[in-house]
Amino acid sequence: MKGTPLILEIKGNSLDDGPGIRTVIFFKGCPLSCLWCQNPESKKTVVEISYDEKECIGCGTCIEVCPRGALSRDNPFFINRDACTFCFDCVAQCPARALDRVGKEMTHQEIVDAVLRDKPFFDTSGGGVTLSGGEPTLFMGYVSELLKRFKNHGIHTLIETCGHFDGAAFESEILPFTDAIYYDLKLFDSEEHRRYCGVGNERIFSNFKRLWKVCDAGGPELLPRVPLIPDITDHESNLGGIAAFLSSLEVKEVKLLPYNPLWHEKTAKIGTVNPLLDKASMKRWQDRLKIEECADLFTQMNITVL
Amino acid sequence: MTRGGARYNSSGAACIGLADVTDSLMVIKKLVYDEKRVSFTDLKKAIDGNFAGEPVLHAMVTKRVSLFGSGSEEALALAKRIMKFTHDSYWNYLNFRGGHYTAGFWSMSNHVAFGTLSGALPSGRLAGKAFTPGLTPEPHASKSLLDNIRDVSRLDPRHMNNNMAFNVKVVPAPQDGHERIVDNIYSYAKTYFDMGGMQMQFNVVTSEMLRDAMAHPESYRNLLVRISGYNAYFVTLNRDMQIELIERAEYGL
Repeated sequence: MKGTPLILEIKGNSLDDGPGIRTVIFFKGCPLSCLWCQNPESKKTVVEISYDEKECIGCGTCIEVCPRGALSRDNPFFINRDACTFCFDCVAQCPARALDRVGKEMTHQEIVDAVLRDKPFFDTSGGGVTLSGGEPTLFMGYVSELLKRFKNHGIHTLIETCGHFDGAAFESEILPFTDAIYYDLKLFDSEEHRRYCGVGNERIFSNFKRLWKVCDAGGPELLPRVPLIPDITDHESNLGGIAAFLSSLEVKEVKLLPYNPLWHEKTAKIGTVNPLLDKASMKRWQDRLKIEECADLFTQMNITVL
Repeated sequence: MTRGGARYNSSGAACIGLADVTDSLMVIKKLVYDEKRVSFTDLKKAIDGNFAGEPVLHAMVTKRVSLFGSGSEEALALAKRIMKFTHDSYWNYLNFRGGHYTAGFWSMSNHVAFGTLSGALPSGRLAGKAFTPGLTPEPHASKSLLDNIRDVSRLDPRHMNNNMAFNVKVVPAPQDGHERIVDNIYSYAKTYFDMGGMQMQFNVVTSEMLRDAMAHPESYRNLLVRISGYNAYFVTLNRDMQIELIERAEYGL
């Protein structure tokens, strides 16, 4: 994908997206379509509209201002997204900010300015900027220029990726301006990967292998991360496969991302239904013993679990 | 003491509600004058009636105006103006010992007591509710604590010659060790003072506070809880999830 991405949010004071205090830029759009995606609003590259029932005071201002009659209490998610032309008149008028625009265009300079305000905190904490999403590598050229600008300001840069990208382009456009890469590996079996994430995993694993060589020889930090999704990724055959793959490359560390159900309300906000949410295991927090079992599969292979 | 008196003879005042006053004036500036969404008369009427029967106007004043502590240059400039005005007003008077009056921006717990005596404000703060403590911004001014810290650091210390109090809430994640929590607090404090800050005090959020947040969500709008790389605003979670998080905080899971 070429051109200017939409930005979902620039979030300051993140303590969990890399070292130190960080500011995270969320890009909109992803080449994968993982069923369990915790940021469903980041899947599509195009602009969307969200409606938060909990913020709504029911004043009806939006219904009156909508030129298309797309808003009604009778609609399943309040907004008829087929009729909506994304003029955002309702967003501008909603007194309670229950309606919101999801994704906006920003120039490189606007993003850099927004992030630079937090730079003093990066400097005292060893933090920096994290590019996340969605999938930032969908916009290779744009992101390359952005990273370059951050490096010119002496800011530590980290990119979170699903690995589904053009490996050669990543090496020439992203790698030279990146201090760390958090790389998600989800399902070891390609068919399973296709079933749950929409695409096979060959490219993801071969890109990882290629990057590991560069990073291991003195390049940026490359940290594999594995989301533990109940009954989908958190079983022995999958994690054992990933652990063996990492072990064969002599990767020493992995980060496991235990499942939590905090994202459920996001799906209705953007007018989608996720059948996965009906499963009991998806409504619960992951069991502590289960997480330890998963971790053991990696430690057995001499991989430290972070 | 008895011959010639003391060298410094100032008397100090403690002003309460810098954020409340700034945010109220921002509401009048933005909604009445700049955007003309409401007339001054209607706003005044709603305030006199404690916003009863005015849910739209109340939502508008609390959600559609940039507040002090949000990173808005306009709100910060207004806060600085109010602070200078307050300082100058006090300084121009002499006490019976011939010393100047100085202005401070701290409240101990008087922001709660004084709040019980005051009517509604243009900012949407309802009658009888507490004012903001010291010169701490409204909890919902920004989703990022860094905006709060940066704005407060940019106030002019010369106009706070009877000192100030700035509260900062730190929310450890269950998996954070002691060292991590201390490192984060160090970074906030060091950065704040590097940027020109004068005083700040930390409050580490406990499970008791999370319980309080369940009961009084309006005071905790920016309370961000962290769960292994995923951030969520505590008050937006449903009840079961909130209880789960409290239990996790208590058992360090």
